Amino acid sequence: MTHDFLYYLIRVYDIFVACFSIGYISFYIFLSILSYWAIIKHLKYQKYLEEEVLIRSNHILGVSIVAPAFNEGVNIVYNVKSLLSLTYPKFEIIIVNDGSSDNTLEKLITEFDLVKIDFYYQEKIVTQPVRGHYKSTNPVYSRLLIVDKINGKSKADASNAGINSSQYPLFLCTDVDCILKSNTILKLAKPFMENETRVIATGAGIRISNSCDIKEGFLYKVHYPKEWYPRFQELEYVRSFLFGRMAWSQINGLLLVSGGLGMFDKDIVIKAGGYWHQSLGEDMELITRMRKYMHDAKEDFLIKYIPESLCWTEVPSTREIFLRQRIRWARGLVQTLYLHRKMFLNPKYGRTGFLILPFFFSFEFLVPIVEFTGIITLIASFVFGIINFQFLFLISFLVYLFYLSITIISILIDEVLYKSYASYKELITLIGMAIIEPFVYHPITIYASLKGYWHFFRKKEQKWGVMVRKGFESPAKK
Amino acid sequence: MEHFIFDLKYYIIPSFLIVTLSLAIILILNRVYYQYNLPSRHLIIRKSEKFLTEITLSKPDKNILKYKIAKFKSEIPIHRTWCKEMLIDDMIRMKSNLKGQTAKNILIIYKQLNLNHYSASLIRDFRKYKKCEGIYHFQSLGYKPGISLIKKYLYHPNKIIRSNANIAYLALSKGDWQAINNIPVKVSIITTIKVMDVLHSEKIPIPPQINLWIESENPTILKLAIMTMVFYNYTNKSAQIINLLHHEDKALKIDVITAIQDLFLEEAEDELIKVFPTESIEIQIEILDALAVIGSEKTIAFLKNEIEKQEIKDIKLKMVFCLNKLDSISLDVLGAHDPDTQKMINHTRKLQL
Repeated sequence: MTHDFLYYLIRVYDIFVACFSIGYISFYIFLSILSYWAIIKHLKYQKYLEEEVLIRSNHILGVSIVAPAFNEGVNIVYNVKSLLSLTYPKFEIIIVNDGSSDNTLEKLITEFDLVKIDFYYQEKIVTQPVRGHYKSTNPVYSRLLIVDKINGKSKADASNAGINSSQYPLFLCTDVDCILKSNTILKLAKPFMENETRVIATGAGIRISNSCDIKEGFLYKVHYPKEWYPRFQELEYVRSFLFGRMAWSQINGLLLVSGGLGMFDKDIVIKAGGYWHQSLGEDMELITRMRKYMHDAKEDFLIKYIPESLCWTEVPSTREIFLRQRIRWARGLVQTLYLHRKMFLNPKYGRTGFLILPFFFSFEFLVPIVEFTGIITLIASFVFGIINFQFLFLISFLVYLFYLSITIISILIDEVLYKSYASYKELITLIGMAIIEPFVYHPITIYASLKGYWHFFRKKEQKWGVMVRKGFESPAKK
Repeated sequence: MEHFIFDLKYYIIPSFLIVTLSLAIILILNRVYYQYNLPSRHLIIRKSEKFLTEITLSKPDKNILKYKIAKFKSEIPIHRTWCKEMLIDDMIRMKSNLKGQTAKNILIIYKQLNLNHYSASLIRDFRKYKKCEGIYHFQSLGYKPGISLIKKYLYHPNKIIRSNANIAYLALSKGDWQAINNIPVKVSIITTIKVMDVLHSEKIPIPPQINLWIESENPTILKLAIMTMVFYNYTNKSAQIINLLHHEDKALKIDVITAIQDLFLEEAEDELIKVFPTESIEIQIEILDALAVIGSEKTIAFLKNEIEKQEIKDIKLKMVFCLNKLDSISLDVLGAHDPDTQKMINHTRKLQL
């Protein structure tokens, strides 16, 4: 009796997984076509407006760069100099010292001749108290504004203080240690000016700086990462940024503009309430809330993504830090989906409610759970002797090949368009990583996701943790 | 089930396997081919840059020019698309940095190398982005014979092609605004930026129809008229500009206020103060920016009265900024009575260190 029941249970599960997989594969094929179309369209319409024309114009929109810094004393001076070197006619840089316990603020004061000013701070988004604002007496650094505040235990709180202190209608949110390409502001601001429909956010590709030659905050040469974890993440970034996000951008369905690099319409962000400081995935949560706000206000909007790598950042290189980051991301995902559950299948929220959120729920949130229950089902099937080994092998191999082809298409798009890698040897290594990724790296990400979900449902105290950075190494030292 | 396993085994999986392997091989071969060709491509690029620099700066006579171009053509793979595009991009870059006869030499080379035919073929291509690229070539290189071809696209249904064709036509014809009545009601900031850039770079004379544009019912034409008037510092129609403060289009109103500021239309002061209470916060802030430039005693009196009772901080801060520019002593008196105003004064004065 029990045997029969389990047999039917497993069969029902098989049918569910078959339907789920067909849906998943079909959707990804659809995304790949959309992505290719979007990239081609972006590249070919570059001639719609030359960037030099924009730079020469008096009608360009001003941009505030908001970069929170917490205990960044080692590199802060280089970071700020790197940001100051960006090319754009109208911008300011706001560094938010989020209650650093090291010498971050002192270094900034000394290096950039800062003095405390009477800044009329308007707390449009509630943050931890701001202790003061600093400006440079040296005209060379006139674009620089430092906000010194009490630590709010989140990047969101620091970013909000930066937004409150900003003067321009657009702001670019980044991490202070990120290295931006010199034309990043222009590239991200351009969609705000070239569309008749209101653009509320833009994002672009982020790449990994772990093995790159960086000197005093400037990127000299891009190298493929040497360590295992960054290598796998490189693969993931290429796939996610060029493949997934471009496709979503094409159908105005972006739900995530990375916290490392994103430009936003300040007015909408403030009206939506700014970053939520208790979120563990504050970038995704903000976009979801902005979408909700625009739907509620019945205003048309666009969120655009640019298929170019404009930012280089250091990613976790050890298992411990990597796991911590991914657990936080997973928890952020489920937290956002739960928080905005009323938007699901709600006609008021259009494609956000009917397409984007259901996709994130089914193919982002559910996947680790389906994979985990799949393993349990396999074990149960094996114990009860109802496993078809031939079918198991064939279907697993098919899924593996599908994954591999998707990954290689992403690398191919990147290679044809941008030639990001130094040689074909690096490409072969990348393909090699793609071949072993499902066996070596993927189980770790699944474990991290499940642990993140577990922490969320157990309401475990949330912590951001510290990302230990190696800092900038000069090429000469290598 | 057996049938499905059979299909999987003999059709589906082998197909996927072939696709995956092919993709991997294409990826690697593409790179190998690129790396193999890179040195010769670099050589050609260097050769082209050297040739273009020499020929544009040396002012050779017609026969020598012809000979040199023929010799250069035989040394490079000019039949290859990448080579043509590389040459055109180089020419555009050089032309933007040169003036006078040297800039004209570039156009001669462009024609002698038959690259104008390549650009024309792009315009005739069925793909929209190719058309845009060809139009861009003609505009950037100042290829006037291209006007006849571009003219066909002035009323194209695709807005990007239409926009590019109109801008290119305006630039090449040095100010023939014949398609202006066909401008859509709503245009992006970018189109207006492009028009202004052409006015600036091509030194186009003020359009004779400008007095008619300001009477138009199309907000885009009005916007263009205002921006053009600002560009030429044309104040003959100041009354009409000021009258547009009552237009229902919000974006246009902002342009009008900016124009009042840029053209120093002091006669607009009364009207700005009059419309101020009924406007949105965004427009009120723009008005205050303009009043900071054109304001007189009337504005000072208005601000002294308003600052005290203003509750919206953004507006109050802008009022403080405005009064600080017009009469800082009166502002100090206000600050002495109100700590919040004093904080704003300090902010305004110390932010610009």
